[in-house]
Amino acid sequence: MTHWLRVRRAWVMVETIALLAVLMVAGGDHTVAVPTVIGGGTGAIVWSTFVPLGWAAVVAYAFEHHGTDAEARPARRLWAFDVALVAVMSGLAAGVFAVTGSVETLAQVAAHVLLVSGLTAGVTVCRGSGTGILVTTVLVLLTFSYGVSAPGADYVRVLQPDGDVVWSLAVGVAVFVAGLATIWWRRESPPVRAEA
Amino acid sequence: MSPARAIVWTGAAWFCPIVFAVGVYVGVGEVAPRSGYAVGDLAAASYQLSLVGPLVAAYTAFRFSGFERFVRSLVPVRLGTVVVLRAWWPVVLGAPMSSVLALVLAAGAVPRDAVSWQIVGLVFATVLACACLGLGLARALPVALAVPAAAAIAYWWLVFPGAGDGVLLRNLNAGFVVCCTSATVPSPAMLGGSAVVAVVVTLGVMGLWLFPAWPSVGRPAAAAALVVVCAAAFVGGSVLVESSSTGPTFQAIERRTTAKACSDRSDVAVCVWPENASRVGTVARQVVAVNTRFERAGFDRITAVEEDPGPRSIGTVEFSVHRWMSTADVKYSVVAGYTRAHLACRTGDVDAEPSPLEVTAAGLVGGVPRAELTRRFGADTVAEASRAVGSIAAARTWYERELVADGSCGGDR
Repeated sequence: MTHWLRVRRAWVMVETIALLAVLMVAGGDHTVAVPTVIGGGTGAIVWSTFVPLGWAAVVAYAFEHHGTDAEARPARRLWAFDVALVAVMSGLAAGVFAVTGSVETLAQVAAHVLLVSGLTAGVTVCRGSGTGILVTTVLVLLTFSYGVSAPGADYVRVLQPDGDVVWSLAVGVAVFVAGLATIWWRRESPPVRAEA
Repeated sequence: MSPARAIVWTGAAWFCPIVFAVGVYVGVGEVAPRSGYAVGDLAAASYQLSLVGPLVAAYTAFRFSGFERFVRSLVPVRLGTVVVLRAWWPVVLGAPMSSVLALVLAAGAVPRDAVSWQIVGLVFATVLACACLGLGLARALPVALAVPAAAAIAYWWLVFPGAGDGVLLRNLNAGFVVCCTSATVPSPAMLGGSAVVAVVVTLGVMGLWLFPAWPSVGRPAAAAALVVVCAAAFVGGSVLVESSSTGPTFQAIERRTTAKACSDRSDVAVCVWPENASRVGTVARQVVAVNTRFERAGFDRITAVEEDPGPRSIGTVEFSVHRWMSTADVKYSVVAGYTRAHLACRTGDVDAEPSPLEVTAAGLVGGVPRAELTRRFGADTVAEASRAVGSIAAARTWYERELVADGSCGGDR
């Protein structure tokens, strides 16, 4: 268990949550109006918009290594621990960011954290940490760049405070569940059992 | 590594077309309609850097991660820079080239003058610097951190300064935020400062691979070296901008000094920018047509019109004749300039703007199509203006009451 926690860099995740929380408090509600690339107009980016990307980076970093001897023992069912780790840490991150942030509501923060956590973790266990964080980074860039007044902006800007909250939360939960399911499925896949 | 293998192995075969497509999409969205002024259109289309730059930085950070292991095994017999470039030239050069092709296609302008070429070169250098930034971060950080860091740093460099009020940074990020109307060009300080930042980052990252120990140094040392390179780039750019004759300016533009194409056929002096020289005859015909109707109504005739005549002066008829403008647009622009010139004369304020009713009334007298005026100002305004200048006598009365000054600015315009 100790080895698994070390491999999964659980303490790094906790430390990152604390660091990002401090940065959120320091950044406050500082807002920057940036020109949007797709659809024209101007979009507002608050400091907290960047926090999910930082969180996604540490999720990818945590799942960078897999397939160690400790993880290969089916009796330990470490894939279930992985699912629990992502779920608990994402919940902790959403709660802490919502408390320390001053712009977004709990529902908005939860939507953003769940979305990036699920996407990054799911892609990382399938294609590696590089691909996992690249996909999330591209998603963040595209949603940043999508114009506020462009068609369907409320439903595309799922990582921005001005997106539709219910839609963002629905997408976040769906992607998060899919990400957890991917972890679950990958850990039960035949190659892992054969290795054990 | 053979060229064909390098193109496939680095992912350039599919990534560069994506860069091109993104560049065209963003660029076309910004340059609508095209003015025909190459500098302005290229500067507007260069807005693609906001998205292309971070994408390229993130991708190179992702794909290059772990490559130092290959370099390490070859360093005893080859320069690290050569090993990197032989494998990575498809992305390092392909992405900037794709971006430049997208720029030219989106702008619909082939660079002809020095400033146009400088914009194209700066876009190339900026994307190249983003690619090198990704290569450097991939060496300095684990891939999970390098990718978002590369995208975020590129985004902060290319996008944030244009949204903030830091004058110096706005002159270091290849940003053409308010550039360029037909009367302006990018400031040489901004072009030079941005180029220095891009070139120093590129040469700095590539130069680090010249050191045989570079593929083996720890990540903290690599990160520190990268910080030094980036700091040197911004210090170098800042020194150049601060030491320029104009210094950094918020808008990072200067007045265009290109010689205009002028003609004085048909007793009307017409001066336009060189890119519009082919439309001088059209302009002259529209001015003559307007004059004919003005003279019939007792208005002063127009004797000279000029595109962007410099700092506004009383008595100058300022107009526009971009490539996309119809003859009705040109005629409207001439009449609007005539009205503005009269108002400046009447009020003594060169920045005074005529009301929609004044422009519409003058437009009806000058023969601007009613549909054109309705499109711009609405049917109610056109109807009200029609009542004011419904007959020649009424038009003359309206002209003397609303536009003519008390003799201080009399004479032809």
